[in-house]
Amino acid sequence: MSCDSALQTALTPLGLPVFPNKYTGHELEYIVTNWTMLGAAHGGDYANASRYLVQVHYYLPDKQNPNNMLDRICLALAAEGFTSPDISQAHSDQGQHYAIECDYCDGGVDYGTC
Amino acid sequence: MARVSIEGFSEVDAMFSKLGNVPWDVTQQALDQMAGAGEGAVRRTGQSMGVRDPESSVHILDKITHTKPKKTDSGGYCEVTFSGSRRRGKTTTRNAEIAFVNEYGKEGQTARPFIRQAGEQYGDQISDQGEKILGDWMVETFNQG
Repeated sequence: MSCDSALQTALTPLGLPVFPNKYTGHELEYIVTNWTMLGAAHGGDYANASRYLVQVHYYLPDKQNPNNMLDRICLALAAEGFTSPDISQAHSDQGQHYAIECDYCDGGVDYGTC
Repeated sequence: MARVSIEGFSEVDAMFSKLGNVPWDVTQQALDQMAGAGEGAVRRTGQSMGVRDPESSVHILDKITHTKPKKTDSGGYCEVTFSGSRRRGKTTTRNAEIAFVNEYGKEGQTARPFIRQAGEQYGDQISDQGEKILGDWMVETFNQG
């Protein structure tokens, strides 16, 4: 499964808007995801797997308690095969922002079809 | 009856004692070299991801620097950081904060996690720099006997 699909599968059931890269809607509580991909499991001149460095950003208003949703996000990611996350606080004047970082590995890349 | 023996154990013991006493100037050189390589890695990754400060003509990637090596009880460390700040009107913003916002993004701004990616992608190359210096010191030291 691609990283984007895995993120959607994990996070959509939480009931918040989930957008890749940037959110352009008007909700105050939402999730934005992004990733960079690195080749992994090199062999035979190929990267035989893809390793994704994933960020999941949880935005919410200042006075709202984030703990329950943060737990649910972490559990949902773990259930979908993401690694155990690190969470950084990146708040701004516009509200709370939690950056959840983890990895995802997508193996078995078939270069014969590229 | 089987017999197991170790010869030259005192030499192994002496080697580990020496390893625990790497001179500070060697450690300092290794840290400095690794921090320099780290700076380069962050700069290259930032460039490839389009990291910039949209409100300034000064490129924050030109402001990456590293501190002098500092000694600790167990060894030492260097910090790779962003120096200086941007002044606009009465507001001053540290370049480190601009880098942080690039790394994690904010409302309406996509994240460019260039620092994490640099660490993941170039971590081995960075530590190789320090290992080479410590390795050379070890060879030189043990050849002296």
